[in-house]
Amino acid sequence: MNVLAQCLLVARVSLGGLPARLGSSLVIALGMACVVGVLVSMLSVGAGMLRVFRASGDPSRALVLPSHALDEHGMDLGPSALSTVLDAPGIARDGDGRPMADPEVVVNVPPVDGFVQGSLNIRGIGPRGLALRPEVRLVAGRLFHPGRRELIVGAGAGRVFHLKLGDTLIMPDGPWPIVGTFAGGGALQTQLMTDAVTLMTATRRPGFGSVVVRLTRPDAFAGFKRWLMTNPAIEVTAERQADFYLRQGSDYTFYQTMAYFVAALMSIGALFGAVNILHSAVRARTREIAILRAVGYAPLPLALSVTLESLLLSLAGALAGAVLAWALFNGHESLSGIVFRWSVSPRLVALGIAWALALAVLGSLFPALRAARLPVSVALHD
Amino acid sequence: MKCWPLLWAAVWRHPAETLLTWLAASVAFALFGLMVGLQVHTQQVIEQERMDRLYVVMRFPDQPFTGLPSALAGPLARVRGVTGVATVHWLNGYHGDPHDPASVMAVDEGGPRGDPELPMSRAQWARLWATPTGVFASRKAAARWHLRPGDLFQVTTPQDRQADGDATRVFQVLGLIGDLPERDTGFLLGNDHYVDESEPRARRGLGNMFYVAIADPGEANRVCHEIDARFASSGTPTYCVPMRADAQAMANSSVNIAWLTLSVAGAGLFMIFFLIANAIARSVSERLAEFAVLETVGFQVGTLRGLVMLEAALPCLLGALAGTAIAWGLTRLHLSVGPYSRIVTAPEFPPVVLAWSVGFAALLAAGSSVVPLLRLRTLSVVDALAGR
Repeated sequence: MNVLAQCLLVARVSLGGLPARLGSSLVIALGMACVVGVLVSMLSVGAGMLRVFRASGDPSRALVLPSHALDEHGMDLGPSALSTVLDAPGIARDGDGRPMADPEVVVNVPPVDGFVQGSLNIRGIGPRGLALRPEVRLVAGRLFHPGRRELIVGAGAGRVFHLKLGDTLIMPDGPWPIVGTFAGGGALQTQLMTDAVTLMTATRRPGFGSVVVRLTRPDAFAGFKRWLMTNPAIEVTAERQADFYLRQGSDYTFYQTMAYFVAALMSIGALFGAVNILHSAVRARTREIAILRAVGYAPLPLALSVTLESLLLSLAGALAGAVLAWALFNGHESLSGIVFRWSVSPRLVALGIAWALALAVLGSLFPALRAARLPVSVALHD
Repeated sequence: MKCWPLLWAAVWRHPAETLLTWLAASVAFALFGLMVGLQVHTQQVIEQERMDRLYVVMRFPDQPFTGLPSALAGPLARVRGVTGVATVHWLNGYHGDPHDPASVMAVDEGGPRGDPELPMSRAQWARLWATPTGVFASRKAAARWHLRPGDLFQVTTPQDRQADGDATRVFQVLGLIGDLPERDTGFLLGNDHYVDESEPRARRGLGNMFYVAIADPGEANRVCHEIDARFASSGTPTYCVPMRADAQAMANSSVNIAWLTLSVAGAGLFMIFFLIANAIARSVSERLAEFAVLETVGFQVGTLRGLVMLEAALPCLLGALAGTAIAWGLTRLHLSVGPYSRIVTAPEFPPVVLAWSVGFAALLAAGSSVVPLLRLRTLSVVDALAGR
């Protein structure tokens, strides 16, 4: 009998004995379910954030910021800087030949009912603000009128900050009503929008915080950025919008780091557990293994049968953990600077399964070697 | 005492498996300790914040930060219920390397009354007012930068340059003071007048927030509303919030950390529960004949049950102790947990964590020994001795 046939036969014998070792087999599966469940759940937080960041940034959109600015909350882009930015090469033009660019301002205001659930931002946009973001759509009410003290609220901001059509927000120059609700736009959904100039007047801001531009094509970005950064007339920097949002999301790094740290620690525990269970399984099968060796079976199929058992149990556990994570957390809404939904994606499930299988192989190494090296005479005697 | 050799023999029957069970338990309890430590410490920080201390900041913060004018201190002090107002100017920058963030909390003479929790003696305050470039370093800050009294300490603030354009200020360390629970990496306390006078003329008197002390914590919301209403139509509308409410809101402002940490800790214990329960059940079922012999030679059933429970308790309790020690060691590494620098800080290690770990270890042991104890209860000595 060749080695492959031996492997199949021994694997069948080994797996056939699983029901007799149901309790200990379940321990491996449950351990892996816990590891994969926790890993996938925690990574789904970061994945949800990443999804919003990606939805926020069309690769052909770029953001121009004052060179020292970390975010869009500044007010340093005055009229002369703006006109220079609009001369930059690579900016797309509309039908009338005007640059597809929009100077914007972002103002931080406390939420209506106290300093709860983080901060609320109002984005002031110009005439081309919505044309630059075709993914944003009005779902209720109407758009704000330029020049009037009116706001539209993002669907995410509405849910998290309990703001709805008809509510008013107290601004420095009095109450501003919410006249519409919009959806789409990724991170934008966590904000309110209004007319930029009206907002700047109300908050006494002399300049804009950023300029959003649409490029003629995504690869025009390098030339656009170089022109801006080497222009001695202005001190600005440019970033792709998606990169900007990703940089803003420091929470994303936190959750990713925490997920891997916790998963690594749990994996070490699960690894000890798996080695323990497989070790005792090999001990329980000592006589069976010895008989197989005595009738001519090679050590390799015996070792592989241990690994296969570990792989199958871990796979079952990993699938259970991933399904549990999906059932409990997929779509769960949170706020962490942006409103996002936890996302248990197929990629994360695959990562969880791969993680569990790697642990299974690692955990079975020592017991498999033990099975392969079992001295036949001693084992038969036992 | 006579059971000790029996217990030892039972535990040491399969040394490799016993060691692996203990190691798995230790790792699970290390995770449990870290998560509970993080949660307990976060809760402690929130509880230490007071409702009778208020923050007053700009209602519409801008960038570069304009801040509130120091002239607001007078009107704030006249609001009914206010007992003290400290003008605070935070200088946020770095020390030498831009990746080494450093801040100086510059306070005026209102400090002792507006923020009485600052761990400063009357003599230390007097010394701070007498030394414009002086700072007091908290012990954590001093340990971080190896500061001793008399040392010079540079802070570079590119967003907050001095009148001459220089972004670096040099401070002299006057002494060391205690730490504040909410300032996890320590803090430096400076003189607001020096900072203010070093600013460009157009920015003097600006860049501030206020720490306000009130007499009655039950009046916090009323005082905040009154402050905000008083300045609502001014050129500098304020936003006032009780410090504890602010801390609680910050902790709640993202993914619920309490829920997250306790879920992870629970998953770790759940994982280990089955491993230990399985190990004890296996051990008991392999030794039924031994239990039958012990019962035959006069051991009480209660003693045998106690033995099984001790056998389950040993890896759990030793695992809890070792795991808690590992968790404590990891917290000594000053693990940074990212953006939650003020409220959800790096896991600390309050002694209550050890109590929680030992408590859960006992529960785990009790839960793990339920099935083996039921098995013992139905043990037929005759059948067991006959090997049936």
